[in-house]
Amino acid sequence: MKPDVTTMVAPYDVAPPHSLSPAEHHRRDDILAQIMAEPPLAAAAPPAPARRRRLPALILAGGAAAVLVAGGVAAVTVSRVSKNSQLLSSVELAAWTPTPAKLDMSSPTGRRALDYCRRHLTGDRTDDPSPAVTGADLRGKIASMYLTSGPDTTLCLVGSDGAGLSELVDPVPAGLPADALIIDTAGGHGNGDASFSYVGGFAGAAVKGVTLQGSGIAVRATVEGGRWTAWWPEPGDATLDDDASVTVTSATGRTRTLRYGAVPFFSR
Amino acid sequence: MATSSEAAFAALYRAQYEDVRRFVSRRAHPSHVDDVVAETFLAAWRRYGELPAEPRAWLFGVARNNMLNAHRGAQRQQAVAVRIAAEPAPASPDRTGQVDDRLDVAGAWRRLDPRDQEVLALHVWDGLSGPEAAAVLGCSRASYAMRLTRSKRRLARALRTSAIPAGLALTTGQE
Repeated sequence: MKPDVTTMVAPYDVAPPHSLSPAEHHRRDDILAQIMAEPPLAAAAPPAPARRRRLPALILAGGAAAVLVAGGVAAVTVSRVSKNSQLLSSVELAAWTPTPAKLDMSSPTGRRALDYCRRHLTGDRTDDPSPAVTGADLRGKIASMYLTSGPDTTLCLVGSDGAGLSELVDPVPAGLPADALIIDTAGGHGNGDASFSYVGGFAGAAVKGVTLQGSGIAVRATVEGGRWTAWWPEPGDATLDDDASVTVTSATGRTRTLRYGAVPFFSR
Repeated sequence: MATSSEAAFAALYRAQYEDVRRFVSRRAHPSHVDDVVAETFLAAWRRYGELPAEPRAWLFGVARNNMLNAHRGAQRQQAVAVRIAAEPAPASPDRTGQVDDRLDVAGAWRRLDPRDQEVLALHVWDGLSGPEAAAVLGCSRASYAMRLTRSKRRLARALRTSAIPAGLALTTGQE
């Protein structure tokens, strides 16, 4: 029997069915909470979408933001914010710096950021008295860090005004190649001058520096503990699209440059 | 307390989320997938009362329009390119070593026009019926059937430029 070309192509699906990870469950329910914070429209306009816009930001607030993971099944509870809320304010974002400073965890800023991240931990809630901080940095007024408590790691961005976001991310995969650079999460929030985007992922042991260069934006990532993260404001037309460059610097000083669109995305 | 429409929408969302996410993941950069999925379901929420009983094709159509619109600032597009894996899934029952070892399936796919990729992907990976795929693309069922046949032929032609084992003939599934 002759093979049908479509049968031959079928196994090459980039998005085959798979069970959602706890982080994916969390993102799924985050999106639902964002959507349902918006009022439904009664107008019977055609369903063609308008120009792309950002959804209002979601804050995982207070004790309501908990992902209970048991046996690989996640039950997610998230809270909503009003549709006019901003995650990080334009004033906070205006102080952004392309190169991160190390966040002094004993400083008031460091303590405030850690406190926010602890209160907004996602994932399995444990009584871990000393969750591990990785990749803590400061860009102007906004701190960023990974906080690992028990089996779960949360990425936090925290402003000096106490606003912020937290997101459950995947654990660093075992056997990561030394020169690997992988995206685990990325997203954007806010509108206008309060727009910002972020990206985070895994970096092999030999990766010491990552710089992203796009249209009107250059940002040096923080690399530590097998993870990397970067975020940047996106007012106006400034953006990092697929054609942006990502320069990876190794421990020996060797650099390689690849397209942002070619950086592999983590898959389980 | 959730209203009945909120609860119904949440149920629809959870039922359709994975299909929509996979549809978008095949076409968008991973860092944009959440945005496109969110905007697609936001459109569904805002027009919840107008959704068809089987909303999957409607959702795919909205997601496709979102992705088309995202690119229109730079250059006008009429189709969304569809990505292909570099290697077949290891556990796939369709994987035949004889064919895969000799044909550059991924390379042939990438040489196709995005319009052909889109027509084929709706059939092969998105699992849509002809009428559903036609609805996503905004064309008639007859037009979709014709385009699918042509796209299969162009894929077969692209595959023939790879090394083909002696005696192996490629069909478009129409013979």
